[in-house]
Amino acid sequence: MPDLGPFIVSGVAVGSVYGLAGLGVVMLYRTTAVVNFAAGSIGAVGALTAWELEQNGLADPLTWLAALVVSTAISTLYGVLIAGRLTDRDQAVKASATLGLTLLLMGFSYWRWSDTARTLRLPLDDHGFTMFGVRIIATKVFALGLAVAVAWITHAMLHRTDTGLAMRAMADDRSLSGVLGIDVRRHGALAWSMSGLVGGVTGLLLADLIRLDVATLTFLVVPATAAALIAQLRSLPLTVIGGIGLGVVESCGAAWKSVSDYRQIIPYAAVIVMLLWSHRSRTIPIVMRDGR
Amino acid sequence: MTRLRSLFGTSTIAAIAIAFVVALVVPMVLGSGWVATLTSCALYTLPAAGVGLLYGELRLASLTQIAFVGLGGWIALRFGIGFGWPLPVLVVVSAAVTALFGAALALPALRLRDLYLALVTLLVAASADVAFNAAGFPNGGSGFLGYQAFGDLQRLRRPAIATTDDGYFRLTVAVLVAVLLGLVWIRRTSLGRSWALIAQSEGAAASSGIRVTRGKVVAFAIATGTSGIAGALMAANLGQLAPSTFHVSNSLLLFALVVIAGSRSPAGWVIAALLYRAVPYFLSERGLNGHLATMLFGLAVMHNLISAPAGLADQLAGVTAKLRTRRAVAP
Amino acid sequence: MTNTRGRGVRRAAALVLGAALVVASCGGDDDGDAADDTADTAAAATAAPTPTDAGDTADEGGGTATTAGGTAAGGDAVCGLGTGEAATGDPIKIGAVVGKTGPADFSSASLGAAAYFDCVNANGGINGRPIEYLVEDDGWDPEKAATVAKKLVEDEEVVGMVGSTSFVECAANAQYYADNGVAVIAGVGVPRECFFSSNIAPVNQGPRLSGIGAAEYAREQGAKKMACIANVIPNFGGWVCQGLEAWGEANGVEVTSFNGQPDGSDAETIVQQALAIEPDSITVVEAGPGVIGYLKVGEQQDADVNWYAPTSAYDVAFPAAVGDYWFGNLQAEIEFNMLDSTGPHNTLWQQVIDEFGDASAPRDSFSQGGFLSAMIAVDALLGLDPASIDRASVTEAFIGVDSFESDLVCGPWSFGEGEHHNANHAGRIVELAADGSWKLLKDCFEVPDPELADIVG
Repeated sequence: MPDLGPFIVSGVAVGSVYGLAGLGVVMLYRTTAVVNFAAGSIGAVGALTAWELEQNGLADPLTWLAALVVSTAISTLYGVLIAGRLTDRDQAVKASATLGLTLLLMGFSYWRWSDTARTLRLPLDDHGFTMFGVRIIATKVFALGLAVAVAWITHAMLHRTDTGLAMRAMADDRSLSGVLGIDVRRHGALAWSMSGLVGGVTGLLLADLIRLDVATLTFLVVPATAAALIAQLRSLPLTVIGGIGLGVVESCGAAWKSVSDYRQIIPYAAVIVMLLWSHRSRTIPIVMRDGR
Repeated sequence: MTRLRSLFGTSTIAAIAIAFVVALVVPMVLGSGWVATLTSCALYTLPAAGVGLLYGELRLASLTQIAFVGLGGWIALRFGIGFGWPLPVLVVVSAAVTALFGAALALPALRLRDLYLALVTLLVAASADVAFNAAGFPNGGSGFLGYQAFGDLQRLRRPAIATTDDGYFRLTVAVLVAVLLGLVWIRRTSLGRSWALIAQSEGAAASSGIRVTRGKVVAFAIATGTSGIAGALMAANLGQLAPSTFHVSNSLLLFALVVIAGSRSPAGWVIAALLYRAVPYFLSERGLNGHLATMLFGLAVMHNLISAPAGLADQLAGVTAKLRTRRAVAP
Repeated sequence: MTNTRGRGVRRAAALVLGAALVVASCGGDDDGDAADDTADTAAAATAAPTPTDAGDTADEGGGTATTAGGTAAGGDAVCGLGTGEAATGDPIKIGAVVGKTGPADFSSASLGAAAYFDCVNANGGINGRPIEYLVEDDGWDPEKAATVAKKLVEDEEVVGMVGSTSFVECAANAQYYADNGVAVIAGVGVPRECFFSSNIAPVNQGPRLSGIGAAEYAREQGAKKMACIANVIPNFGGWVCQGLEAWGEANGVEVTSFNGQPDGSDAETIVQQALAIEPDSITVVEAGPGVIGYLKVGEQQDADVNWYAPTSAYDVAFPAAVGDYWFGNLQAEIEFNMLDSTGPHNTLWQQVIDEFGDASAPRDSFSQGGFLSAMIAVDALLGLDPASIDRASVTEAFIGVDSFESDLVCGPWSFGEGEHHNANHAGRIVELAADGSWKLLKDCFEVPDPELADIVG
């Protein structure tokens, strides 16, 4: 049995990143019923903007602010211009439309920033401590803390405020919410802004922790989705825990040489099995799809 | 002829005629670049048909169809290079094994609600991606995986009847037409008709004696089997394959394009494949920067999902129908 | 209902095709992209074969450079025949397939080659005939690589390929080139197939040799136990690290391989895995951004290990990106000469890329590779009768290249018959110095890859 200590520690670090990215997915799904494949690329464009401004000599805090503004703006614009016109379509179609945004943002990023070697450093990188022989930088602790905080705040907002109630109602049945007097447009835009903001923060952290590269950050949406699925796309705290679980399982797979190259499959397979288990009782929808 | 017409209808026969003309004429008038591109379009029409069948008939979103093309290609390379089996056998084996995988995936996954199913297929595609990179595609090595990092690279050869690009294009179109006819035929059987009811209401379908699970599993098997055929044909066309062709983003994109093009009709599947391969090639022929082309593509995906809910094929059909009525009214 | 439908179609069509046409017909290409506007150049060549037009060879982005070459004829840089006269004859078509769009942009070599061809065209061309350089993007997709190769070979009828750089092209097209008698002087070969194909000969060493070269230097510094980190892509990561393992076996160094995901998302885990065997040195063989990803984790762990990199780290933007922790702590093996070296060919490269290259063309070692491949090709073409240059004669001339001397590489470069081509097999070691610049540590030395037995003898 190999020494798993270092793998668990680094797995928690990677996993909290998955959890944080997964939070963005769940948050948006709970408020708008859209699974957003573009979450990663929205964050990446923000982070790349921060990098460019930093290269031009802007003070760091201002570049971070700019990143958040850019991410929030892209997400809000998409929510108003595109998502708002797809509300009555299948969830799979709504998700595919975010793929359109992903392509747009990826093409733009490569066109504007090419693939030059670059890094984004946050000041917390210089602090840290050692655990099981693995050094943990403060940025990772911050990421984990932030994930927990965002999960808690959003949870509280969704369940304790009128806005949160309106958003949840909207995700369940948009037209009915409209009839009940909820301003579906405004709340929809707000939900997209919030998810853009979280995407921007995540983008900055992930650019620091993983790699400042649009493709890498974009496709983190896959493990993020897996984390979200563990939480059944509902529970925010479970998403964070699920993400950490994924990270630990994946990382520990590296301890065994024979499975090492295939280890990223393990968490995905685990998620699929778990989903099947939790849906083992088969329900047959009686209602006709067109509402009859 | 009358019997053929009663089996498939006039529009199908017209479509076969068009395919025949395309197969004959394209290599005569277009250059090799375009012939290769259109061969690729013909290949990708197969997984597009799989997506279309599942989504158009059953409202099931499969985001993993191109990963199954990769699986089919892997199988063809393994048996083709390893044992020298001829292409027709490889196509059948690839189709059968991928269909089996598809059914194995579908059987449990059908308990899930629509979106969960879509996301599970996404995770399957991501897993396939990891597996293709870790295992490599067979290139003449020994062992189960047939991959070697040393030694002479081997490739699959095209069949003797279609060694040239033009010949292989015609062969691909012929296989495509055969598969599409098969799919159109299946839709008209009792199994195919049961899909429509299952899509509307599983409860209603079950209470009228339709075996819902069987209907869905068979649909999945057929849809993945067609992808397997495409994989075998692609492997024989190129000789070797690489994981980047089957990246998870490609499966996602193909789904979006099938929705845009129209999931219910073979014309829509063909349009989806043209959007997937021919439009990017056209843009790069025109000298457009590849990154700008990607951006344009993204915009087009968003725009068309909004503006063409029923799919481009449906709209085109609407336009031709309108023209026909106009002509009929005019003296 | 039908009305709205009709409008929908028009709008949809307007976007999918209309916008495409508008952008395309504007010329697009404002960043000097490698993907060539073949249709336009071809049209220009046939419609108006005037002296000024004949200089219009490479890609659209080089528009300003070609004009300068056509009128000012030369400037400082002297290439090819060095006549100072623009070539006006019937163009000779040369192709290249590069991986531009995708995980990394590999078009730099073709931009270096394009600059040299422009310079040659401004200096008498190939005995009066200009080179028309057609570069296609394979998008890191083997199927597209096969398609664009067919387009170049059959539709454009190029006489040969020069400066190609791709992760997928060699595997996809090696057989096709062999079957069609096309010779490829590749700018930068990356995966294994680029070095094991009868008709492809790269001018670089390849990641495997670059990694082994770095490891050999580590051994000289006392390394006994080494980790090799590369990505898992077939015919890349495994091939590279197995090379280090074979080298280690022959040289008494214990080498263990670790293969990460191509996007580097698991760099953290891979480094932990590597550190778990307690190596004294780690060699990372990846593209530049990948190397940085692993070094960043290495910096955080601050373990007592020496890190080594291949040629991909040797880039002017690299030191600032990787950070000052590594200043004085990182050595890399380089496949070409120092970017600021003063030999005649490197000096010419600097001049030509400034004068004829696109403003956005990188000044990196890939560009040196593309430039060198173009020099070798021009040298071979100049030995042919200009009137009878066709694919057969060019292929013969390319394969016949024997002992081309250049200060850009350590030893003479040859193409030659056979399945295995790796003429560039000696390298240099550079260090990321304490002041953040790259300094030469060790001049030319042979890379001891056991797989080279058939070439080195």
